Amino acid sequence: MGEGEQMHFSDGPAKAPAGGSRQYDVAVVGAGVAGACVARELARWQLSAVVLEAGLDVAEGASRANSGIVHAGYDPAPGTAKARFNVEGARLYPQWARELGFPYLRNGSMVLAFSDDELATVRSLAQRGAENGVDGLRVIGAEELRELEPNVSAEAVGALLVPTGGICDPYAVTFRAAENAARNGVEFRFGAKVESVEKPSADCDASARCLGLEGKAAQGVACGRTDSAYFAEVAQPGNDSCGQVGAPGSSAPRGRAADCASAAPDNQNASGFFALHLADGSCVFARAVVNAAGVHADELHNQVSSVKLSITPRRGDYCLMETAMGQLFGHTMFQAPTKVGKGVLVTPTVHGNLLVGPNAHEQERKDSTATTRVGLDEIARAARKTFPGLAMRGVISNFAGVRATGNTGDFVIGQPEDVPGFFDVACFESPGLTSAPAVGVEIARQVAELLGAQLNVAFDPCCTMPTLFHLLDENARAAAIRKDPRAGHLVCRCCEVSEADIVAALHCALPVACLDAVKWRTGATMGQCHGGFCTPEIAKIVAREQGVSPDELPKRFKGGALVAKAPAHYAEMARAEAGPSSAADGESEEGGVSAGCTQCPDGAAGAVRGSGGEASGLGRASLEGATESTAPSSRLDSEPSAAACASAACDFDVVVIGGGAAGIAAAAAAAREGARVAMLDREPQQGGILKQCIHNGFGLHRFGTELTGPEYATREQHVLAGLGVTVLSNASVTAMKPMAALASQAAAVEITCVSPDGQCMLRAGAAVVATGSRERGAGALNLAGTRPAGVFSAGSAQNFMNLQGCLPGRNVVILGSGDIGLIMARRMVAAGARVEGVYEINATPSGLRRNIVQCLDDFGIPLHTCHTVVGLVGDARLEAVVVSQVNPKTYAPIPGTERRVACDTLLLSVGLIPENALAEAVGVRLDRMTGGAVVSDDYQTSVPGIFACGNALHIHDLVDFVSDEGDKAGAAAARYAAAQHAPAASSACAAQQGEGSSPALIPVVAGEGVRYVVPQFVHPDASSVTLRFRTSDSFENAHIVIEGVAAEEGSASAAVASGCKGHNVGNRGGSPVASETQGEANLCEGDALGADAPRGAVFQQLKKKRVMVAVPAEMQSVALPGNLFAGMAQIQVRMQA
Amino acid sequence: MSVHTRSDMKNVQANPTHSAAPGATGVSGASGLPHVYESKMPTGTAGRVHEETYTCICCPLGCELTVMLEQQSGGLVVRGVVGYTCRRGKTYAEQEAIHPERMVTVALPVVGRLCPVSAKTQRPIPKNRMMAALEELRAVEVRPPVREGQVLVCDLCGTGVDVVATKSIE
Repeated sequence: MGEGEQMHFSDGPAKAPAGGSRQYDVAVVGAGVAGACVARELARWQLSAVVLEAGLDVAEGASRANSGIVHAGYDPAPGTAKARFNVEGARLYPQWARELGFPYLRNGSMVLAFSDDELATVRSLAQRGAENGVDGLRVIGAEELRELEPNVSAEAVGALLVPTGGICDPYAVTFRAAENAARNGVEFRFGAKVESVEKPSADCDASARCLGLEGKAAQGVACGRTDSAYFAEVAQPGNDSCGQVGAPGSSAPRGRAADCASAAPDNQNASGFFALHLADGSCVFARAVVNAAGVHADELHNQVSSVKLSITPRRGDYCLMETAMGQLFGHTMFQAPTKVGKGVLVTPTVHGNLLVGPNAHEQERKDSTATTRVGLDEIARAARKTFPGLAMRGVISNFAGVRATGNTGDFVIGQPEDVPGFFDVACFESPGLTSAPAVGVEIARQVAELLGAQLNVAFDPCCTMPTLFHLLDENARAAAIRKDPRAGHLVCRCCEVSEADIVAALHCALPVACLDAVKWRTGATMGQCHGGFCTPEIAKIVAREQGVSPDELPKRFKGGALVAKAPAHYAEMARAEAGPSSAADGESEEGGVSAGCTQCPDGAAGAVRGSGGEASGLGRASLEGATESTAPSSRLDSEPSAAACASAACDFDVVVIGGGAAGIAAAAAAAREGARVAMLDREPQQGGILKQCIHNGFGLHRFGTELTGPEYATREQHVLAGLGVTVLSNASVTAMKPMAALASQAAAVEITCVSPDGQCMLRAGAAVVATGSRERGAGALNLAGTRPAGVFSAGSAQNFMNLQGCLPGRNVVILGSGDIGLIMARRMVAAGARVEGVYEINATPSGLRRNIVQCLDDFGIPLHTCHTVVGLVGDARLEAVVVSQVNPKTYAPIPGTERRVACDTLLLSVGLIPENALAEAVGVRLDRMTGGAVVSDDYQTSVPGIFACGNALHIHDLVDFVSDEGDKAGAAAARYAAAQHAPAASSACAAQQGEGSSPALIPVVAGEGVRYVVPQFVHPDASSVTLRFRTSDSFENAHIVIEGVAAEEGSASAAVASGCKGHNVGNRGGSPVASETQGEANLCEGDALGADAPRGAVFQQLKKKRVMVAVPAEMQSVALPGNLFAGMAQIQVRMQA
Repeated sequence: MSVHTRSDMKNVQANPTHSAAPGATGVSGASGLPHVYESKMPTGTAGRVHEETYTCICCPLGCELTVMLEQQSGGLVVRGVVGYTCRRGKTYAEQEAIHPERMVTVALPVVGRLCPVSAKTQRPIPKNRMMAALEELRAVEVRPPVREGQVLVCDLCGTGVDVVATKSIE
């Protein structure tokens, strides 16, 4: 038996003992939702059962890629198997959801009618539903419809309201049912593809020979319908039956099956065993077979029955939209079926996303789930019939599922007349997901009856698993971390999946044989970064727990490993890196100390690392007092951190969120201002992305010398080390509350964070958001095709290479000419890979010129501008990408220009997105252009006391400027916090807090040729301001012009004054910020941004600077001296050619 | 010519080894090995002054540099540089015209450690030795501990330049 072929990485109970028994009472073919539900119900009986699954995880076929709807049962024709099992299944769902613990929500469905004809259709559906026994159906009019679903199309004239319709997570249904079955003794084998099935033969001896059991077997156990011998668990260890079956010279399984059949055509059940021949040459024997092979069920059926079935694969494409769009609809919105088709649905998912689809395309290949451009466009168009406001830029992923549509028109459930003991769950298309529990019950009952099985009194119907971190409340989180410190290590930051969640998934009864199994079981990598950050970390955890390195770990399918090459002994090294237990030991870092924190709900501090030095100035006294009373450390002076956590209500003056370049600079600057500072960083080592940027080119501005990323990070950390900043590493912020929400006015923000040391709450006078950015991921590009291994964000590939020594792939295409992509092109070549080319959708490169020269030109790597990747090819591993020229103006692919470029790896360098989930949650206003906060010149956001800097504010091309921003934001935050202690302080930031007396901020707007400017506002009395901005185009020999619009009374009459330059900002509409309204201009006001100058305004040139902009990606900056802004109503930055 | 000016940067396919025209299938002419540029000078043109254009890589500004070169019996001589906006740019242009150099940065495996050690050449090496140097570095493995600045490889690829660690490994 090809043990090596089997993907058993866990030693859970589901693992087949080597050389163990290959005979079962029941073999279930397929671990989709049907197979899993049948297996779960079989476990209620005293039967030995095995589930044989060709894929590497449960729900590999249609069960994974469908609408996730629990249909009420109004659709199937009365009297059909579909109607029966649909209604029964829908009734079982709430109970199954409780017992098995999968997400299920009875959100109700609607079937929309867009005409009177369709209203009639909808009424007939209501009638049919009533016949099928569906309760509560009601046809509603347009008014009630819009009241229930305000976003529905105005064209809809009514709908069938189906209150019992529901939604579920189809993977979770399948997984939990299977896991429950496995825990109750059902064996699961993944990577076990059944090639053929052979009916029980009269030739008992031959069968026994096949088994290698001659003379040992016949321990007869009477069974329901036949007197056949019952082979109990008799195989001896080492008795490799598979080897014998697949011995050289033996005929093909199909041929042998025919031989057997012809030998005993009239007495087929004599030996009582079906023989299932697997693709690896091994063989499984079972007295009963359940055929739940999805789209392949007809092939299996037709091998044993004379009544032939035929399944036509019908593909359905879907687009999954971001969670922000999940709120748009409460109900599942179907469209009334028409002659043309069933229409597509728009539905919320149990995870809070919005799902649109499917279409229906018959296709030849049963296993191809590649989406097509045509199909994706089709569903978008059709979905707009229901939801005209559907914006495709909200897509986070597209996928396709293949329906098992039979020639029968109905499910085929049960034993064919000519093959007793063979149970079909075939032609199991929609409503299969809903019907599966009921079918499981029915099939298990029939099997038990046939085999005369007794009830299994030990059966446990519940499948309890540790609750995922993101579902726990704060108290439960604290308790979970106390129990297992790994619960405090958030691996997937987007979805808040902890290391403990992942480890639990890896140690399920069902083995994890591919990365996607982790994804589907925990939700990790499903967030907005598309796994860009957490995939390398998950790879490490899998290796540590299961000994499988990322070059052996399939992403989803056999042959599609995560990376092309990993270091030898990867798993051992991953274990060594994690340390003897977990990283949670208190004394994990130099100077580390874990101390009880009276402020924290669970009495624990974060992983606290004092960075040496003494806290000085502000708040020093209270800090020292607290230090003496609580901290157990012998290095009190250098360990203010834990102590501070236990001190007064305002734990810190400034809390900096993020330990990258911006965060370090902000923390250091705040400390230099005398503030008590805590810096929270999710990583064990600070420095953020610099740690993996091993190339040079950093630090020319800040340090006057050219450094590599790690060197720059080290220098910054050295600076920080002497300033007494409390560094909490491995700490992820899970909540931030602004002052308004707090009773205490002493603090501006309250921050909750978790680390392996516990959950900790910090209060601070000010917070600096330095959370960096994430890469735009593959899902967001809505690429058509398959979803193979080998597609990386450039930063993810960089992490694998530079922090784990892996080679992501050998033949690389890079999409997007952003700096990371260019740097990675050179890096891949340096590591011995071949880079086929860089494809850029714009007419100009997105990266810096010098990177084009030294990363592409130096290595002869072609750059194809006005090109993009439109499709992915390859099932397990990427085999090629389809590239296309695009229209330079619309970016639309030009039909006929597509070509295939062979490669095994696609790196995406298609933009960075400021990471502002936390800031948004506290109401910080974001700039649509930058994706970051709207800030004033002191980097304060629209929420008082919350500051922002670095890539979280806007995307930088140079770390030096990130640090510069951090300096300024940190210092301003410290001054703000200080002003809270001394309300009389007259600093600019304090003034903004004063009630009623705040001086108006002056908006800074982007004029002609400028995309955005940061900061978006300046204080009239600002001493000096650096404006950073990006242009909308390349410029040669152009000028940057900074102009002020004077805030004169009745400025309309003061049109172009002499010496001032009149300039029309552009043709945008929008409300002008006139002098009389300027008093209201502030960070929260929506209209101020990008507003036109007042009509007839007086422009005063503040600065003009000659500049050449080679690529719009280059960030421009202009420093302005102070005292320029007094009396101005608006500042404008524009380009003058 | 192997050096791209800004205007032809948008169309690198014009490079003779990568002549894929828009719409052509695949990248024709791309051999398995990336090629390295060499500045080629017309022969037998002693005394004649000609211009070369480069994009400065010293900082993100990416200044357009034009170098006036004269072919003399002893080789090329720089007669002048225009377009630079700082001293580094001028030096770079002079260097790039006569003897182009590049820094090389790599990550080298560390025995028993999952995380490699990042490293760089202590100073730039001749551009035409870059691929050979990278090849040589692919065979290097380092023993911990490593201190930042520690020499990991002496005389890389016969260039006389050492490779030093850019971070410390305990």
